[in-house]
Amino acid sequence: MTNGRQDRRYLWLGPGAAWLILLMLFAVSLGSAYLPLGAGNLAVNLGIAAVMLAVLAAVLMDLRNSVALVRIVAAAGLFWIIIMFALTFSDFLTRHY
Amino acid sequence: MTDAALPFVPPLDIWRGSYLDEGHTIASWLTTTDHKRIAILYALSITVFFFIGGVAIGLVRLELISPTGLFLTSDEYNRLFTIHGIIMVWFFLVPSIPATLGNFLLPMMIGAPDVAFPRLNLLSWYLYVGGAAFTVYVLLSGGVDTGWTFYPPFSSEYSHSNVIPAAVGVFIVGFSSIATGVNFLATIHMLRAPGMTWLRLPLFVWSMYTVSVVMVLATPVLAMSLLLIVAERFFGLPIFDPSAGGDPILFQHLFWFYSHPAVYIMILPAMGVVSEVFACFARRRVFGYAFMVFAMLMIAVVGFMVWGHHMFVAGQSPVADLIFSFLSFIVAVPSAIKVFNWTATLYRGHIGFEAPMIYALGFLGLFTIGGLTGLFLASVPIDIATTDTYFVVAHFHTIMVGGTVSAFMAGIHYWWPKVTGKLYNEFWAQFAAITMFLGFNVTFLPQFVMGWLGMPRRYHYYPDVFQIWHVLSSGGALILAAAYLMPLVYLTWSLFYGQDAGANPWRSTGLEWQTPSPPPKTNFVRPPRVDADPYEYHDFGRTEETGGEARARPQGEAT
Ligand SMILES: [Cu+2]
Repeated sequence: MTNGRQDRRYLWLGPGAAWLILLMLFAVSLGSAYLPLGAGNLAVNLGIAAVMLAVLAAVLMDLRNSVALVRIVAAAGLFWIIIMFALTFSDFLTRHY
Repeated sequence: MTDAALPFVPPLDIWRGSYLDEGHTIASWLTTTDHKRIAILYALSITVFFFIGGVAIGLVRLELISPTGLFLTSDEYNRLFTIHGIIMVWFFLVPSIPATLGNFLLPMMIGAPDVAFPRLNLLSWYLYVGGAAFTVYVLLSGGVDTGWTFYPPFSSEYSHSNVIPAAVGVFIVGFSSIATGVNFLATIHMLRAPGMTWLRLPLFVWSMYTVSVVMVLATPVLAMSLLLIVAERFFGLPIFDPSAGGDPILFQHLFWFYSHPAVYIMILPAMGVVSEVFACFARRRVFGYAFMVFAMLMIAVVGFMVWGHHMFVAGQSPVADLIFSFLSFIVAVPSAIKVFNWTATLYRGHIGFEAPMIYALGFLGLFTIGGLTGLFLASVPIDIATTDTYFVVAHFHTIMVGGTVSAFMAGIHYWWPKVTGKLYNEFWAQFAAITMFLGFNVTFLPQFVMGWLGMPRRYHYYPDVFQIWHVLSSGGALILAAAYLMPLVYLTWSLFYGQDAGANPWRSTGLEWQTPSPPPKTNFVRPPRVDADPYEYHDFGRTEETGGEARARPQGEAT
């Protein structure tokens, strides 16, 4: 067991930093929308979203300190999202109207 | 039947009072964290909602006796079938088996004293009550008319009924599913008794495991899609409005991403229940145990990939139609495996026709009909012809009522002696079981016929040619109502005047039966030890022709 001081550091410091990083990424995402990148805008936005997701999973969901089973559960969640998107896009990307 | 000769019935001298004696005040029930008492809280609440939903559809069936209606305005008619759907799906069927039988039995079957998170378990019931309160508010303040599916743009823009409170109620009750699912997953992973390996889990436990996976992964998407409806209706965020770049079909994708797996949330637990009942009353080991487990896992996974079969006429692309149609045929395979394995379990068994078995046999026949008509609907051309007809209505009621409700009744009767320590009147229970099967068929076979002939669902007025089918169906609903009311009477009667059941009246091998009935607060007097596979009733069917009792070996020892 750690002492209370370390507990508090652990509880606040990581998520605090993660929150600041997320806010920063949000600002970058917003700012990049005003740059004339054409199709590049989408790529940049999705890239930023991926980084946000990684920060969320590693720090706020605390997967960096989790046991294997918890990581498998999180991976299953991601896999299910992929199913949802892949099959939904099987509709949206093949419509001709 | 005698239970004296069996070595695994616990002696009565270790009896130290049951979970029912741990406090008799209302407060002791409302603050309990005992999974068995929470199961009973759930059972009482869903029974109330079952009868509210039943009255709603009873009025609809009465109205439909005449092609031009009898006593309802079309607006009232729409609100009645909507509230029937919302209540029956989310406030009865989804919690039915997991939250009552699952809550009560899951820890006992794996030899645990409680679920992994007892307080979360109680919270899940309060969330149910919270969601239910919104639904009651909707009911009292005039209802909602969107149909249980909340499709935009009607729900987001045009409906003048209480869409937001109805959506919020369903949103909240979803979290009670999620809480139950998380709890069961943790319980099965962490709290199995020594010797209870994964492939020794009773199939009911496997069904709870798979259904929990589905609940945890699907329900958040329902919550999200309902929030988006609220966002559009209340805040004007045009997510599903095509005139502002939205897409109404997106809602259907999100909604059915939950709501098709929700069918499996209803049917997987039913499969678990009847597996226990068939084994016990045929005195047979379940045929192909490992196949039964993998079939359920496959249903849980592939069940997530078929939702588009609800959208063949919604404007989905033909390519997507093809993909979803193919996957829907695939998901029928594991269900078929289960039906064949149940049949093989019965083959050469010592079949007894006690009430739970009659209900379970009813399940087997009706689930097969429901499943096979599902294959009709998985085929794009047939589905296009029958979309929004009574054929679809009859199909899914055959799965949900003929399947899930039959199995739920089987489970209630099978485990009633365990839960209450009393025996119900066997004659009336058998009578109710047979009445339910007949009532079901009289209600829904005419719906298959008129649906095939083109009678659209949700219509208030209809052409005269369909009247005979509607009258038949309404008559069947009356029989069905009687079959649902009978158990209320004889089960309640048994609480006061029923014979004491003894620990194991069915001479079942399950761990939950190797402890007194009703069980003590900690489920077992001593921590159980498991040393056998489940269902060691009879290896070779009716061999030897001894005419005596088949051999049965309990899964473990707990007293
Ligand atoms: Cu479906």
